[in-house]
This record gives sequence, C-alpha cells and structure tokens, in this order.
Amino acid sequence: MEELFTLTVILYFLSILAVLPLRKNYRVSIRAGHVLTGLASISLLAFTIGALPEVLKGKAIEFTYNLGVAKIPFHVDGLSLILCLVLGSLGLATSIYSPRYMEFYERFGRGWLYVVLYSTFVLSMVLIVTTSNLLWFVFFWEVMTFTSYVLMVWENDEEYVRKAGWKYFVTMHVASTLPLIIALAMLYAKTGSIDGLNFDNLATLHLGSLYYILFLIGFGSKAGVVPLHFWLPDAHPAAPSNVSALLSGAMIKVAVYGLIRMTCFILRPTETFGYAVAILGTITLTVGTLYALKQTDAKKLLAYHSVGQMGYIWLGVGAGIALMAKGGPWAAFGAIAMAAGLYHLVNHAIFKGLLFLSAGSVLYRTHTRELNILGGLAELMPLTALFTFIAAMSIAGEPPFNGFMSKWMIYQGTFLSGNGLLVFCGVMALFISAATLASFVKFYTTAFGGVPTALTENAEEVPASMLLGKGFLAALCLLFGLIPSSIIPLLLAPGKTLTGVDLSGWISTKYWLVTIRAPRMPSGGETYFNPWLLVGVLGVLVVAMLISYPNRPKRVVKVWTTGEPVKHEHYKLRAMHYYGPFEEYIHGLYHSGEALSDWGSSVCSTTVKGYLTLGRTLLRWAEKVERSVSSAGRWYVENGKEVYLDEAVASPFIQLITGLGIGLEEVSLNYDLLLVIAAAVLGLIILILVGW
Amino acid sequence: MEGYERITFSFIAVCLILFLPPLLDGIARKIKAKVQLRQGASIFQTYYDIMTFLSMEPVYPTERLSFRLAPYIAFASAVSAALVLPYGKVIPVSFTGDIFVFLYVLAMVSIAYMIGGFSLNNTYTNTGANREMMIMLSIEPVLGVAIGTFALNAHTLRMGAIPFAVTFTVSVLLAYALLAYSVYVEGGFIPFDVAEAEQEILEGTFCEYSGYLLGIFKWALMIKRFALLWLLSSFISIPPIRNVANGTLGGALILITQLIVLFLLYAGIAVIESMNARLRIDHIIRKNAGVFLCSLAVLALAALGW
Repeated sequence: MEELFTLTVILYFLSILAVLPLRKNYRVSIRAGHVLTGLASISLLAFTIGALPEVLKGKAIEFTYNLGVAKIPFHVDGLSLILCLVLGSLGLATSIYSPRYMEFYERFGRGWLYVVLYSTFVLSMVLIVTTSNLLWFVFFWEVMTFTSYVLMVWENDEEYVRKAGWKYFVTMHVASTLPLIIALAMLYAKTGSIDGLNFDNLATLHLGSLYYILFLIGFGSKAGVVPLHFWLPDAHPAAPSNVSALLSGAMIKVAVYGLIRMTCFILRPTETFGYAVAILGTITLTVGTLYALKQTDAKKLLAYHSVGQMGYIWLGVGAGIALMAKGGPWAAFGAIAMAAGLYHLVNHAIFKGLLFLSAGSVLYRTHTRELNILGGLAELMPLTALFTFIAAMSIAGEPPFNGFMSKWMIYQGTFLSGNGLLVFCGVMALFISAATLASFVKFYTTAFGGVPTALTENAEEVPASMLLGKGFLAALCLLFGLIPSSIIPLLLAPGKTLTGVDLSGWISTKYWLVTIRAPRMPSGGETYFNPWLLVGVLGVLVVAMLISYPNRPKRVVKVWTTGEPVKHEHYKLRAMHYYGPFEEYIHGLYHSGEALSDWGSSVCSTTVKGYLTLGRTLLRWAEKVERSVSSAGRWYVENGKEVYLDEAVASPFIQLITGLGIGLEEVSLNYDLLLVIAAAVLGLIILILVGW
Repeated sequence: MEGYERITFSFIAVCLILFLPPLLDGIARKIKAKVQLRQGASIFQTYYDIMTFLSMEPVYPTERLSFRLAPYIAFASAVSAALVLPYGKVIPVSFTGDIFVFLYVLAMVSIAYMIGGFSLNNTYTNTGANREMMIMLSIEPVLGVAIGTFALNAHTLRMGAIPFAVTFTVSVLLAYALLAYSVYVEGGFIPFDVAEAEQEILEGTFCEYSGYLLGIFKWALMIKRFALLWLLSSFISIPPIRNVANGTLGGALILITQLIVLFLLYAGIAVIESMNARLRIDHIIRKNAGVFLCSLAVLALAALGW
C-alpha cells in the first residue's frame, strides 16, 4: 500500500521540479504543476481507499523512509487516513479549480513559485498526518506554517494582506510553534534520542499535565479556537480563494489531528481535559458564528464560520475524550461522540472548501466579494448557484446534506451524555446551528438572489474546469449525507483503537440507516435516521404536488411596490441590513469581542515590539563590543612590530589575556574580584552569542 | 393483525395531517370572533379559502426556480415532519424517530419561506423572511433546553419513547412549559406572527405569492402548526395513560387522547391570540432571550436530577 503513498510524495516533488524550467510562462507553469498535484491527490485518495480494509481491522500501515542522513518513520492508522481523505479530496478539487482561477492573479507573475509553495504546503500536511516521529512532525508543521504564510500574502500589493499575513506569522510562531518546540525539547530531554521521539515510544512515558496545556495552546491557536482565533478571520480571506479553501478546509483540521494524536494516543484521554476541549469548542462555535452573522464580506464571513465550525469539531472531540475517559459503557459512547466530531471535520473540509471556491468564482467574475453590492447571480451563474446552495445547506446542517449528519451525531453525543455541562454545550450547538443557517441564507440570497445589479449584470458562468472542481465537492456533500455508512466505519476507527471496545452494539450503519444507542437508554429508545427514506418521502410529495399544480409561469409581472415607482436596487434588503434587530440585541457580545481582539492584537504587537527592541539592543551591544575589540586589534596592528595574519587575528585575545594575567597577579589574592570579572566575561560572551 | 393496525392508523394519520389543520384554523377563527364579540365566519371558512386559492392560476413576480419551488418544498417538508410523529402507537413513515431530525425537517418550511422571500427585490417579502429567521434564532435555545431536560431525564431523544420513559420531576414540568412556549412561538401565533403580518408588511413573503402557490404555502404553514402541536399533545397525553394503554385498543385510546388534547390546545391558543396584539420583532427577541436565560435554571435542576 505504501507504494501509492510514495507515489503521492514523488508526484508532489515532481510538480515542483516540473515548473522550474517553465518559469517564463505563467499559465503553462500553473497548469503543468496542477496536473501533477491533481495526480498526486488521486494517488493519495487511492492510497486511502486501498488502506481502508487494513485500517478497519484495527491495523496500521507502517513504513520508514531512509534518507541516508535521517530516517522518517510513518504510521498510518484510522485517524491519519481520515485526514488523508480530506487532503486528497480537497487537493483534487483545488487542483482542478486552480489553473483557471489563478489567471485572476496573473499580474503578480511567478506562477512557478506558486506551484512550488502549493505543493510544499499540501505535501507538508500529508506528511504531518502520517509521520510517527515528533521531531519530523514539528519540522513539517513549521514547513506548513511557512508555506501557508507566503501563499497568504500572495496579493502583496494590498496593505491589509500584508498586515493579516504578518499577524498570522507572528501569532503562529508565538502561540503554535513555540509551545510545540518546548514540548519537543522537554520530550527530547527525557528520551535523549531522535528515535526516542517516535510516537509509540513517547506513549510509554508518564507525562504530566503541562503537556496537555502546551498541546492545547499549540494546536488551539492553529485551529483558531477562541480566544486564540483573532488571526484567522483576517488571514484566511487574504489568500487567493483556492488557498483559502485549503487553509480553512485542511490546515486547521491538521491541528485537530495533532490534538487528538498527542493528547489521546501519546498522552491519555482524561475527563478534565475532555471537558476543557468541549467548553472551548462551545465558546468558539458561539463567538465565531455570532461574529460571522454580521459580516458582509463574503470571504470574511466564511472565515468566521471556519472558527465557528471548528468549535463544533472541538465540541464533538472534547465530549468524546471526556466520555472515553469516563470508561465503562460510556467509553463506547465516547468513541461515537469523537466520531461525530471527526465526521464534522471531514464535512467541514468539504463544504467550506466548496464555499471558498464559490466565493472565488464570484470574485473571478465580478471582482468583488462585498455582499452588499452583489445580487442576482443565480440567473447568470446557475451551476455555481446550485453548488453554493448545496454547500450553504450543508453547513447550515439541513437534511439530507452531510453537515446535518455530523451535527446530528454531535447532538446525540452531547444530549445523551447524561451530563448537564455537555447537554448545555449541545443546546448552544443547536442554537448556533440556527445562526449558521441565518448567515448562509444571507450569503446565498444576497449574492445569488434577486435581480442582477449594475455590477453583476455582465457576469457569466465560470469555466468548466472550475465548475468541475466545485461539482466534485458538491457530490461529496451529498454522498456523505445520503450514505453515512460510506464513512462512519472509518470515523469510528480512532475511538475503537483508543477504547478497545466493540462498538457494534452501540452504533450500526446499514447503507443509509444509522442507529445509535446510549448507556442508560430505555428499551426502544435508540435513535435512528434514514436519509434516503426522507429524500424519498420529500421527493414523492414534491412531485405529486407538481403534477397536481404544475409550475409553469404563464403570467410574469413586476414585483408589487404598492404602486410606488421604486427602482429595483432600492427595493431589496442589503446584506448589512439582514437580522438588524438581532445583531443590535447581542451588540454587547460584539463590543466585548472587539475589546478582546484589540487586546489580543496589542499583546501581539507588544510581543513583536518587545522582541524587536530586545534584538536591536543586543545588536547594538554586540556592535559596540565588536568595534572595541576590532579597534584594539587595529591599534595592535598599527603599533605592533611584526604582523602576521595569524598573529593579527589572535593577538587581541593574547594581549587581553596577558593584560589580564598581569592585572590578576596584582590582585591574585582578591578572589571576589576574580569571580566578578569572570562573570562579566561570561555575560559578555553570552550577549554576543545571543546577539548574533 | 399487526399490518392492518399499522395501515389503519397510518391512513388516519395522513387524513389528519392533510385535512385537519384547516378545520383547526377555522375553529380558532370562530373562537377568536366569539371572544371579541364578533359573529365570525363558519368553521369551514379556511377550507373554502384554501380551495379558492388552489383553483386559481398564480401570477409570478419572477421566473426564479427558488421562488417557484418554495411552496412545494414547504408543503413536502411539513407533511414529512408530521409523518414521523406517533399517532397512537404507530409512526406512519419512520425515516426517523429522533426529535432533532423532526425539528430540522420542519425548519425546512421556514427555510422555504425565507428563500422564497429573499429571492425577490421586494422589501416586504425580504422583511417577512428576515423576521422569520430572527424568530427562529431567538427561540432555538429555549427549545434546546427543553429537549436537553427531557434527554437528561428520559435518556433518549426518540419522540415516541420520551413520553413513555419520562419521570415527573420539577425540571420536567418546567421543560413542558418551555416546550409549550417554543411551540407557540415557532408556530407564529399572535403575538409572534410578525413574519406574516398582514396589515403591516403585506403578509411578508406571501405578498408576492398568489393562486395555488399561495394556497399550497398557507396549507403548509397550517400543517407545520399542526405538527408542532401534535408533538406537544403527544408529550402531554401519553404519560397519564401509558400504563393502561396496551394493544390495539390502547393505541386507539392514545390517538383519541392526542386528538382531544390537540383541540384543547388549539382552543386555548385561540383565546390567547384573541386577547393579544402583535409584538415588535425586537420585543420578541428580548422576550425569548429572557426566557432562555431563565430556562438555564431548568437545565441546572435537571442536571442535579430534580
């Protein structure tokens, strides 16, 4: 099986090599690069499907790349495979979509560099979720952070893009990479070798609660969990839409992977930690989505929803960790709750990817993403409208789309947990589901509903390749919604490995029927859902009504304006006016959120400033020392009798030491002074080292 | 015998779902008239209205598919949601037994209303859709707390199983009140009928619908109210008789009790409606938020097992 994985890695490297000779031609280089990344994604998907039977048996695929100087061990289990599926499908969709979309950015040139970064970015994520050594994990993590930063600031002639990118770069290094490196350093100190950092070896250690906190901060900031989310709504919209799709669809999911891998597989799941994750998730989904509600910039709205939906994933995973740690019959139910969180992870990757690609399509044709001035695109871009509608209903959690299935399972996992706190989290999740619906009704109807505006009237459908990329994701939205059994067994694999419990009595999937049992449930109380039957009933009813009351517009007249001569554009609610009274009611939240975000960015900028000041001071000191040493050297050279090269280099130090020796002879009995001088010299050396 | 029972009950259920809601509406109109010392129309007036609408060819303000299909989707969703409720002991089409699926399918009626309203350049339809969404937003957490309390008490989310498994505690009694309040608000009864306010915003989204499209849409809305109240009526009527209702006769007993409670609920609602005036949307949001904050105490009680 690992051959297909190796093929994926090779294809990504090939795409980097292939564009290097094509640097002159922007379009050809991007096209060639994406053909290869598309093939790589297909190969990754093939690997995922091929590895599935093994993984479902509870086995993992293990192999090692021996690079001569270093060995990279890999361990692909159910959890890794879920992320491989996400990266493969999203990678394929963006590879199909991007060649035409990137024409939009032709003025920036450097298509080859884009492909190099894209491939490195996706490949680094693939390697993160498959490697089984912490050192390599952190190394690929940093590669991912760096390449995503450069891709994010692609449109670097815009002030806000540079600012957002900088915010991202600093936040990620302070709040994500730093905690991971501290954890890595501490674990390295414990194990003493690089091989000792292999996950299976780390799992045998007894590690304290500090590691939970380090991983929570490190992965939480990458996942955009409140209060470390402030970088995300600026950063994700700044990138080109295809990259935004990968950032929101895949990159923040890798953080969830990291969280589960580190805190459940290497550390042990604990109840307290589970509740912490669930509560953070609930806060995140509430804050993120309520903020999204008032956005009118299409991509910013989507980015805030990424924060919000991330909250759902954390809630599911957190409830899962807490219940698994509780043990007994709850362990099995915890595995289901975790599977619910992972289900939402996969689904969010798909529909959020699709939504970003749709926002990109609108941007591609209308050159704007401001919902206030868009309108009427359903008439001009019918297929884009259809795909956007599917994605919007998926994220709003409407049956029979995929978002509903995962949200439904998250509700089961929280409401049936028998724990007041988790039930409250579930209540908030239900409420926020309505807020998500509100937001996406707005997103869809402002851009696609109504009559075309002056800005959009000349828009036309996007090219076929872009539609194909989106259509693929839309099909997946339907597949994972209508046939839950296509994915649920895989999603249950991590929980099964962690608990070692047979789940067949608790959850069963038969093609399209899902049945869930919880502990303490009365007989005949298990919940079930059959999406096909729902679609069947709905379909029969709609068709029956359409036959009885055929829908053929014979008389089409203008809308009723109560007799007033009003222009079309003045007779529609703008995006900013949607849900006004509700937003007014919760303005306290927005206000405190803004205060918090100001505080966050001030902390961020103070950190940066502090770091820069420190660096500058150290440099100045180092310069001074250097100058004095070199001037002493120059003095010696100018005044010395015979000068050789080696003597010129070494003489200042010799002179210094001789001088010190003479001085010390005088004070040879004064040990205190000796110590002070020694300490001063040591301090100087450290200062110089740090400064350089 | 099993099969016959199922078919009979399902047939009765389908008849109830399709044809009872207009009658309930007619009775409510009559009660309102009586309370307000008016003569009022016949209790069959709503049937006549619907039939008139259904016989007329609609006039379209747009050819947009989202507008044209909205009434059909609303109708299909309302009927589908009503079909998963228990009638006696029978669920006519059980694609689910879960209360969340029921609520989400029922919410598609509102979504159709909103998509229909927002797909036009018409401030009146837009406003109606906008208000519908805000009502849904503000009532969802209250509904969530009610369901959460039932789940903590009965350890199931299946609508047919909760009334059989629930044990009566303070929190459960309060959860009944919360459920009743949510049903009332979601049903858009006065004073919460701001989304379809006739005099104020020309009936919101309905402003642009006419002929049989309007008829189907109004019918769908009545079925939605029926489904919500049937859920409440099942929750109220099953627990007192759950120990005596055995076999087919027991099923019939439950069905009759459900019907009686439904009529009583509808009559009570009509009385409340007749004595209230429409609220403003910001008042509704404030009121629902207040109820939600109080309801958190109910959840806390339930978590403690009271």
